[in-house]
Amino acid sequence: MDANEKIAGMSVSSQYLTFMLDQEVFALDVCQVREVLDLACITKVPQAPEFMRGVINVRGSVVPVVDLRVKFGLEKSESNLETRIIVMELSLDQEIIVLGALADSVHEVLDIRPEEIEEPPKIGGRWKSEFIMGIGKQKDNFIIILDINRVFSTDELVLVS
Amino acid sequence: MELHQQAYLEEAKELLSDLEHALLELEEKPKNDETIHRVFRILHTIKGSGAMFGFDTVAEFTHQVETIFDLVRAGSIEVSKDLISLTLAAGDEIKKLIKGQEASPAIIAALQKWQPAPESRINDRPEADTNLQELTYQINFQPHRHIFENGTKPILLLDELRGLGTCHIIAHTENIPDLDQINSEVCYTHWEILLTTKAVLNSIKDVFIFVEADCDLTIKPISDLKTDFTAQTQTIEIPILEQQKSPSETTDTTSVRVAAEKLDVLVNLVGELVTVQARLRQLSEKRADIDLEGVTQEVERLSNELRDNAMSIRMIPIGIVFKKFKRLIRDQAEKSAKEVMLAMTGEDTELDKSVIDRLNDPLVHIIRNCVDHGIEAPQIRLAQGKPRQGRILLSAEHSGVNVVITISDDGAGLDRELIRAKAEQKGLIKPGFPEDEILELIFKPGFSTAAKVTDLSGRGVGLDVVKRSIRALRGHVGIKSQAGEGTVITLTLPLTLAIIDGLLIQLDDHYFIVPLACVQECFKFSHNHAVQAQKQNLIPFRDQHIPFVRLRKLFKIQTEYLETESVIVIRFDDMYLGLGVDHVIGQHQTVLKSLGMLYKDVASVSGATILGDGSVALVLDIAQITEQIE
Repeated sequence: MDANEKIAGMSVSSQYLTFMLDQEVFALDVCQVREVLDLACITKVPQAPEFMRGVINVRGSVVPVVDLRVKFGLEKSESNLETRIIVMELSLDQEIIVLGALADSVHEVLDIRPEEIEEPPKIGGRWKSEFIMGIGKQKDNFIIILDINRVFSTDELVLVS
Repeated sequence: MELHQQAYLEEAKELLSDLEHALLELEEKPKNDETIHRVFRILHTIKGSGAMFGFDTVAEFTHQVETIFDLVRAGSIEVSKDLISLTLAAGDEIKKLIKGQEASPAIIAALQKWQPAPESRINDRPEADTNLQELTYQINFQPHRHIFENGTKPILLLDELRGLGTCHIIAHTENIPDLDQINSEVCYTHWEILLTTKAVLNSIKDVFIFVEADCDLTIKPISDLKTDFTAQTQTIEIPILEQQKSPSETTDTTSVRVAAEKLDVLVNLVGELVTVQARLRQLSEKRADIDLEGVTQEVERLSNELRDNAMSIRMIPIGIVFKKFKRLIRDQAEKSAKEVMLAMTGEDTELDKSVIDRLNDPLVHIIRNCVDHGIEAPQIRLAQGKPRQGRILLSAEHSGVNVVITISDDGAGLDRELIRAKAEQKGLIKPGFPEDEILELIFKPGFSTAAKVTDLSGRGVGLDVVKRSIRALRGHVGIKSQAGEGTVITLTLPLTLAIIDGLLIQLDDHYFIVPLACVQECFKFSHNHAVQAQKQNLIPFRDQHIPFVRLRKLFKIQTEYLETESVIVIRFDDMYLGLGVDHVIGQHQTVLKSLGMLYKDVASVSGATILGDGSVALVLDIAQITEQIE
């Protein structure tokens, strides 16, 4: 119940966690973010799709880790000191799933007011618009706000080929 | 009170399912007095506690059914198929009433028909009671102190006694403490009742049927009122003496009702303890301190015992699920004008509650299929020289860490050619599809060979759902069938979904767990032998050659092989299989954790566990690996 309410109330929140993937700034609603972890030892699961990097132990629960870069059709992440795991909650087929996602680096929590968010461009973008909730403008920078539930509800790549 | 109503709802649910079993039993043996009594008792309990907790419509309705069975009990109505059907339907009606819905008028009318005419009832009763003269009973009713807690009102019981005959009630109030010490929720009073009645002893006992466990009750017939007073003074003392002795006996209950969630919490805690214990073990090995080692071993022993205990609490016999299907089969056979009987073996086989809970739906699908498509109509069966009545056998047995459930019928069996034709038509397979995999096709989504769609099955959904839900339980489905002779479906399920004994193995820098119960033997052999074995895909084991595969190859781990490798021989479904690994590390208590939805398509791994150093090891799904290698 709680989690569903949280997700329903998402549009009201205006705080976003920003992170980098391949030189671009992405953002996630903070309501969906549980915590940000340093890169830990990831146990690889054999015979799993490539974007699923394996599983980690988060205080006694086994949490799957996905490589957003591979999911988005980019090259696999080379992990370095900046690499982080963003542990998030998303709803898939009416179930709440906890999932870790690799990010090149994690920046900050930003306030983006609703009026600063624009509709994603229908064409011409690098990313498929159905996975984007909106484009946030911050000074001269654009931030891609992801609809993370959508990203994981399909087998498609997010990048426009 | 709400809490008690909730408890009543649960109790009623159980009682209704008991009622169903008793009725179906009665149908088989209509003359069995014991069963008739059981039915009556259950109805009486539903009625009585219904009234007590404010479910008046339930009580009223049940009363009508009870009246009929009272006559059955007295022998003035014979048990018939109609009566059983009506009572089963009435049971369903009670379920509806409990949920607050209305009873259907058809059932009420049907029940009315069976009700005795007022005169005949009067004629009936005395006839049964003619041998009984008016007798006086001395009843000593001593409720336990906590009797109010479950909503019992002793006054109602006394009123009920008054209804049976002339009644003198003496309340004993000497145990009531001073006002400032009174706890209003405790019953301090006990009663002595002199009842003169024509009613039989049993009907007096019936009054107290719900409070039996919560009171000390003595009922004694007194033939002569004169001797009564001397008797009375004696009997008062005896119960008090008895009472002093009895508390240990009365509180010695054989079972306790516990909410399932509490057990889940317990098992989770034990799981965490086991993980911590693994850390302690690792630490102790590193330190090589004798004192620490001693403590570690003690903790290990205790947590093992605790684990086994906690797991055994959650084990319940599979018969609970099996019994439900009697009714399902009866109803469905009736609907499709077939005759089917259900036989069961191994009902005592115990399985984890969480497995049992999730087993119901798949079994319903399978059994519906058996009745609908498996068993033929009686005429067809007779024409084929089979007995009129079809037979479905449900059986369960242990096999290592698994429980094997078989559902077999002696019906038409599966027609391989029909399945092949259908699958080709739907484009599921190409011509030349291997013969022995044809049967597996019926588990494919959207596959159904049923010529017509029935109310209950045949929509082309079903068996694929079965396969998926059994897979979700880390189980495995098999099917065998001979056209004309019937179908056998086997479900192989793990005993538990929480904690298992595992064997920890290493491959490169990855750790895996193999369920220990599958492991037959481990041995080492040299790299050259392994290369040789890999070429042939066989290794010698005992007096035979068994299939062999290196897990590194299966999992595509590219690094260099070691000089010496280990082989673990596993056994699954009477099949031996050798797995080549780098190292066998040793036994590991494995707290199973799900890998979640994202990994549901990964076949070779069924879950994960956390090792002593906090890293994650994956649990191999032996059934799936065996399948892949086949």
